Amino acid sequence: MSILKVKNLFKSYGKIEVLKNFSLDIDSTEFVSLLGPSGCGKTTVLKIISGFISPDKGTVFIEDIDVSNTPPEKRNTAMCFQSYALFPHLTVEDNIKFGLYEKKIPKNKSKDLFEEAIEHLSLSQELGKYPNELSGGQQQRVALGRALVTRPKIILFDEPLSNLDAILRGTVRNEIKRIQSEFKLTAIYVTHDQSEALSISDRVLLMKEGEINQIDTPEKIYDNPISYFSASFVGISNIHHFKNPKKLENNFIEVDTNVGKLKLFYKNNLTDKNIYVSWRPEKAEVGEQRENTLFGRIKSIAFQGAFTELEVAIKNIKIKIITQKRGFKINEEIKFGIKPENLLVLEQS
Amino acid sequence: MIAKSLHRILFISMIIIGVIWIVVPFIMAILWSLVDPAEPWTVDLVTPPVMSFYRWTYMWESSNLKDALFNSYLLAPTVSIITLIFSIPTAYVFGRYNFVGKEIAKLLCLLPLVTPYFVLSVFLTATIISFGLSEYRVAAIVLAHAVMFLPYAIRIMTVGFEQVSQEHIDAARDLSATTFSRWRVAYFPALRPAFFASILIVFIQSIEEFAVAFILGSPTFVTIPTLLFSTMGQDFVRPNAAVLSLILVVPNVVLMLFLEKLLRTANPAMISGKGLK
Repeated sequence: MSILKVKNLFKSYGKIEVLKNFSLDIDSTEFVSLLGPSGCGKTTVLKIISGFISPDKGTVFIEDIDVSNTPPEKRNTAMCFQSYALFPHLTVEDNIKFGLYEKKIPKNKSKDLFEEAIEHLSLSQELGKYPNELSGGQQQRVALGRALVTRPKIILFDEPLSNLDAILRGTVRNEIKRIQSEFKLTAIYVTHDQSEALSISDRVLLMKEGEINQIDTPEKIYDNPISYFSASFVGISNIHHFKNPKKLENNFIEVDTNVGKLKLFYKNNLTDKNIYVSWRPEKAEVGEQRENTLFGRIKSIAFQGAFTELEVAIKNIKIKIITQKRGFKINEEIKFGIKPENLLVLEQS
Repeated sequence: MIAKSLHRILFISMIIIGVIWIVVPFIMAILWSLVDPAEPWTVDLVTPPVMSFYRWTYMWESSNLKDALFNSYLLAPTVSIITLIFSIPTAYVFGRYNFVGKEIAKLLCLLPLVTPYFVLSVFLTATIISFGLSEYRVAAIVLAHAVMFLPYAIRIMTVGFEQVSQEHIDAARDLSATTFSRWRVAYFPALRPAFFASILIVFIQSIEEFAVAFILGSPTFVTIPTLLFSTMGQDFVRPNAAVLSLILVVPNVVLMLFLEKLLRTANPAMISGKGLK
């Protein structure tokens, strides 16, 4: 069941159009990430949903009620801020109880809600401390506790891990996912970190210049990017401009690229927008003789333990290959193949 | 090496200047206030030949010192609070909103500070007299002081409002906070240092102000500076002036140290929430 509907949002700051006809439906208990580069409008979407920014046009429905003109204090949403925004002169306990008190939740109920939140977030030892006495991870947990203790319909995360170090980021990310799942929360999570979005979300919404570029499950976003932008922003891709497409039998087509002729499987009809072909570096099969066999010279080798990253030059075009094979040498010529079904046709945008 | 020597020279110079400008006048004032009238302090003596509290007792019993103390310490805190209240709307707009011409407006607010003090005082008192407000002596002086010292309060409070974290305000709103709660958790903690600084500056300015208090207050309303200036007038008695100077300065120094301590306790980590363990 859809809990949030965002319809045809437009937002501009002066001459800069931040959102262009942005629409979104989110189901109850779903975890959706808004992923995109800085300035693509993802935080604006979050602030419009929470009510801190009014759209120029468009509507926001929460549980089928139009809340477009409802101020943030009257919306049933809760935000986890990038800087946590904990009240520094209040203890952890007072920070978490703040929303319960302001929303005038009856004492008995608020006691139960508070205790449940504390238990799930393992904060019982920190209740008397002030925010500046806590580590970054603990502050994040307090912020999460403060947001979820009142049981909002939707919880909004604005780049909540960006102030944490790499190790803590992984731990807190898993904790956010666990808490979201335990409390059956609907979550919208803004990030520019693709690994965060892919690992935590039920669906990823990829944004570019105020528009949705692609929205899908993390696996599909990675395996089937539809555009040059999604293929290059999520993960690593080798992308080649193609021309002279020739239809072959059984939905195969052959195209000319800067690394040679490539044969690929494509069921749909090609349009004017379909001008790129891409493949993930791990799809290359080094040493294999297939339809799309390419030869290149190794320019760099980066051993990563479980796999090796190679940079290979084909006619001065550099491509990336990830393989589990070892024993490569710089300037060694290698042969590799890519299965036609692993070559993807992309749109221009 | 050169930087180290320069640092040392500057440090020693600072100590020497500090001693000449602060310590010597202070010691001289203390010594002069203790000169016994029976044995005058002549130029051939390093310290007064006889020291007593006669001048202190005399000033306390036979001058308007009691009234002056009461008036000054009624006036200064009242002016501090009223100026702070007057400054808040303008400082809020300067600190929280962006608008065309904001920097010019901020500069215009500070303009009275570069106007010569006596010109400003005479202009203000003339305005107050022309409005017929001079008969309310205390209220008229409070109003004039509040207007005179408003630029200091506006400037300090503007910086205070700029320090309020928008995320704290948003977090409070997001948790359904009322307007009062929003101010309690987001604004007041961040504004605390600015409150103290504004009160301190205006308090000192008001307690030391002479011209307005003299023109509007004379002859019935006496403050410590007006008493001091009258002591320095026709019947100039240096030891009496020294007693008044110390009475004027010492509480200010104590207050300044007290507020400085309060400002230190309002540390950035407590205001912003940053400063992780």
